[in-house]
Amino acid sequence: MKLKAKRKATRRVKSKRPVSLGRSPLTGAQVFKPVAKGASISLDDVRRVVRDLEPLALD
Amino acid sequence: MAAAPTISPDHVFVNCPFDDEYTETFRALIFAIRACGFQPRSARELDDGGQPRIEKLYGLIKECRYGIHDLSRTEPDAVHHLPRFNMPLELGIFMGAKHYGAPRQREKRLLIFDTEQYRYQKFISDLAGMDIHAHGAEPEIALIQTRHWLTNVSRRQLLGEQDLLAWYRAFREELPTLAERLGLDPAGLTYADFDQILSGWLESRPVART
Repeated sequence: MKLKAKRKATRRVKSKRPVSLGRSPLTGAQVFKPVAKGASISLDDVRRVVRDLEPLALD
Repeated sequence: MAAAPTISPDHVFVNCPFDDEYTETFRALIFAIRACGFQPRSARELDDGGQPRIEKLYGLIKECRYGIHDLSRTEPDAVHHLPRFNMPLELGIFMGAKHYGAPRQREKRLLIFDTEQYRYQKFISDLAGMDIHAHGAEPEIALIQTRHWLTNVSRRQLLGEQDLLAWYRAFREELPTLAERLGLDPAGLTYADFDQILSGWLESRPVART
């Protein structure tokens, strides 16, 4: 009887790259999702109040 | 078996005092890191349950290629007349990982801050020969020096110094209003809430091109 070759166990390396929220219109740099636990507000809450602000003038 | 965490070229470990007097400098550091396109990591993001704190710090330090270490609170406090030693300890762990760690850990880069450039010689003279940066307890100096250092060690093209300073000042001015509109006390913001507001502000702040 033919024995099925046992696949060698491989160790998966977990990627630790942060999650990007996209580029900032102000800085042009990536903005990463915060990792700190225990925030009492959500990013959607923040987006809502930030979008109500008067636009900042860029040259 | 749990996968081993790997080092990220975007993570910056911030090892600094957590007292009220330092809050503005801490926020300036976090602002500079985020505005330059990096991810700040701090012992403040750790929750209290389960794993011992030092184990969590080992994990955090392991994941970060960059580390900013502020030794400015190495002075006796008013209550116990003893200095805070968490910052030198975490600096030592970071340097140990860089020195003895796997090849990717040896790519770690660190910035050491103090209030004055040569004060460290009186309490941690083994650091002689290392470039210690003085911020003079001025948040805007810490902000700019962090930007210059990140440009240098990451070799990325980052936001200019003047723009960084302008956006930092705009954010500082708007932060109390944003906190109030979110139902939070501007004077008592937690790190998690501050970071959430900053990230949302950088991501969504409306701009008008002139």
